[in-house]
Amino acid sequence: MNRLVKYITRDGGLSAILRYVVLLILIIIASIMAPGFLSMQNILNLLRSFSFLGFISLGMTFVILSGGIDLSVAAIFAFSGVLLGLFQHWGIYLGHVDKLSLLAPTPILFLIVLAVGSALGLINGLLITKLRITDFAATLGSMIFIRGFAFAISGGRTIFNLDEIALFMGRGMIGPVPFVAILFLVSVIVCAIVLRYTVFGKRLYAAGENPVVAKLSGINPQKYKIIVYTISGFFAALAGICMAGRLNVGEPRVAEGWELDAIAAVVIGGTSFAGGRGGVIKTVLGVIIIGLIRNLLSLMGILPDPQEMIMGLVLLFAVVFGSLGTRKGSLAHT
Amino acid sequence: MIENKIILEARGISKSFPGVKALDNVDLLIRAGEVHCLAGENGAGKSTLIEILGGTHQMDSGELLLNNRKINLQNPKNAQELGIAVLHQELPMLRDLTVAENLFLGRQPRSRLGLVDYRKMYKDAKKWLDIINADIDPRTILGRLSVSKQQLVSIAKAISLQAQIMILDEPSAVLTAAELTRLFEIIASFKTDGRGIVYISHRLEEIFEIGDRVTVLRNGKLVGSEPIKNLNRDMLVQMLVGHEVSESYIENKSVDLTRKPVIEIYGLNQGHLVRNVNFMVSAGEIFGIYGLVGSGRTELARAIMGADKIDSGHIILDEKKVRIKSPAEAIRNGICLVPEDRKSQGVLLEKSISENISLPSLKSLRGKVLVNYRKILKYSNEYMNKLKIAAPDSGQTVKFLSGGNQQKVVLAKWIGMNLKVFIFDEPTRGIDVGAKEEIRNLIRGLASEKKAIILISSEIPEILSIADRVGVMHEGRMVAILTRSEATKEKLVAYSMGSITV
Repeated sequence: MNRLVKYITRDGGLSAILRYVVLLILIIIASIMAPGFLSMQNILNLLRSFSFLGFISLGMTFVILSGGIDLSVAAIFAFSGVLLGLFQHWGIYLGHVDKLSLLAPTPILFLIVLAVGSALGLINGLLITKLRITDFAATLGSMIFIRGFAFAISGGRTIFNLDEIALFMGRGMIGPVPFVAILFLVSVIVCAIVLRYTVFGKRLYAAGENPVVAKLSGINPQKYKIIVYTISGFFAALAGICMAGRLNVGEPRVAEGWELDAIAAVVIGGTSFAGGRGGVIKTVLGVIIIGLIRNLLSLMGILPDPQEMIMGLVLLFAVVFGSLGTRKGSLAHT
Repeated sequence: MIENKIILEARGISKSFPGVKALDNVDLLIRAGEVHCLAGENGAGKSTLIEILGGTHQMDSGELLLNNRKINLQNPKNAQELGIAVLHQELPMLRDLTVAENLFLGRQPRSRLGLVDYRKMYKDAKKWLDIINADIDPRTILGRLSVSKQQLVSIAKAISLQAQIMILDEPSAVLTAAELTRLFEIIASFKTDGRGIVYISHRLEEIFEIGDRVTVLRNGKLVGSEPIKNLNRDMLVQMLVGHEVSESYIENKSVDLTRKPVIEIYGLNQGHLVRNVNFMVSAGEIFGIYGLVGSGRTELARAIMGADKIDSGHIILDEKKVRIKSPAEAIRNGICLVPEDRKSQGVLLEKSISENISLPSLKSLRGKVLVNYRKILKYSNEYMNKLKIAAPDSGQTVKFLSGGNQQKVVLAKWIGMNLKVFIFDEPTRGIDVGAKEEIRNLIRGLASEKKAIILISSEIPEILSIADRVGVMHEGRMVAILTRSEATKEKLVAYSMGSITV
């Protein structure tokens, strides 16, 4: 009991509890509106549908912890799917379009796509640290460039049909559980351990909260900036591969606007925009809240575009309530 | 000689800030055609006084008479309209606007349509710049000019206000010798115009060269106001430091200066505030560095630490030449810095005591791969107890600690790391008296453990009470290194103001 009181009254404790209350209310509403909501089948399905946003939100968490922001994740997401599609339809350049013609075995293609995604993130990090462009401007530029690049290499076309291994990434099941959900949960656990139990993670929190203190304590904040953007690029590429498998296409228009959903998920989860506070478990909470709200709104028959209205309000609420429980609000900059 | 007409009279000015009495019943008379120098150590109250005259701060009590009429200054605009212009040390100008736009900020000439008349603005700007012989194109973006040219622009601005009283706050700090000569010519012409000039300087030579009268402040109180011709250098230094002449703050502790040096600095240059600095510190020695604000003390510490890239010079540690390009390398070589502003540079305010203490030592506090929280807790508790940090437990968030305890947290980060050189930059600033003494004892304790200590401080009693030798900095140079028996308050003040003949 004492510990509970201490938990609630500590700095930020109230807003953390509020998030779980919101989640609980959402689940109750959903299970009333849709009787099958709490069935194992539906939960597993939801888990799969949350995973794609989940991946890029994980990467975004690292970036926001470092005090940055990455607008290019959805573009890297789409670019990676297109790249995978092209690599599996290498014949496109030889004239026969819809036949599979693999550039290399699919697992190697995955590795190449992941490496390209990470490299794009690395470039973001270098732009920010070496050329001293602000995080926002650098990733805004690369977002537009990479999305355009995805259109350019695909000629604006959707590339249909991928091979079995690629499809497994998005659709495969291990027993009753979607493979992508397992992949996501493993990623969450790895990220949580990296952040909490490695020297890298602990130094990242320090560099994110106050780069000057970090630097004088022997940490190179710029190095951490570069690494977090690389991680973000990696997860965006992973999400892109899985989504391509799920939809069975390489599609340059996929995930438009998802960078904002990812930022919203991180902030709604309770990671501070000021850097140095938060974590991936919080982000998972944010992803689930966002996913559930979208799911509910769809159940109510509200179309995707007007849904944004509600999403915007939720984000504002999260920010306001986030700053009620803490001295430094989620969006406050020092 | 007939005394000139009094333009501005300040009577019994007092001003308090939370915890400090910045000005206590200070009088000041500014006469037409006279250069009135204002002198005093750091924190003597000079800045507060001119901020009151410039309308930035409001006094708590006292009165201001302008041409024998009582005035009430509510804001800087008030003061400007009454003909009082202040040239600040830090130029309050907009770097991204042109020179002319800065000169006429808030009073741009307008055309009949109410739009800014740029042609007239550039023409007028040129006129004022020509008056002070400044070779500056009014269309240049201010930020592209050198600092001294920017200072000239602000001088032009002050002249263009046609103020009857001009207050110059350490203009010489950033000017070259030629520009300074020009500035003195301009000041001389102001005198013949019958304007009143208040000139603040940290250089004694200047006061004797240009001043007609000097008013000395100490700890917010008026020490005296004398015509320059009645004074010599020693008398002025005496006024500046007070009459508690050469108290011996020093307890007896024999220092063996033949000991091997731990750290040696040769010909260190960094930017314009660290110029050809040489010194060395041996094991168990506390080397004090005294200097006025802006003399380059902090820059020197940052340069040794690798926080700013050095231009030239080298550092020798334990007789081995080292290249330090980042604080991480400095720490690896056994050097650490307890920085000037602990809240923004020393501690992570939002993190716990143990997170802060363990931050530089994380690598040694892990198992094979992962960080071991039990080790972190044990390690930070050990040093928390050793330094007597007052908090319920090491999980306490650092922002809730007092200044003294925060400073101990910064120190605790380094004490367990087996380092050789500790640099302290103003370690006792802004903490209460009891905690100050505790911090000083900790520093003495480190010295007795054979660490080499560099202690930067602007508190002379602090330096004299714990330093074995004192280096004095003035305009980026280490102008003197005094042993404990040579160091007196007078000498430190005189050297720090650039006066060599003591």
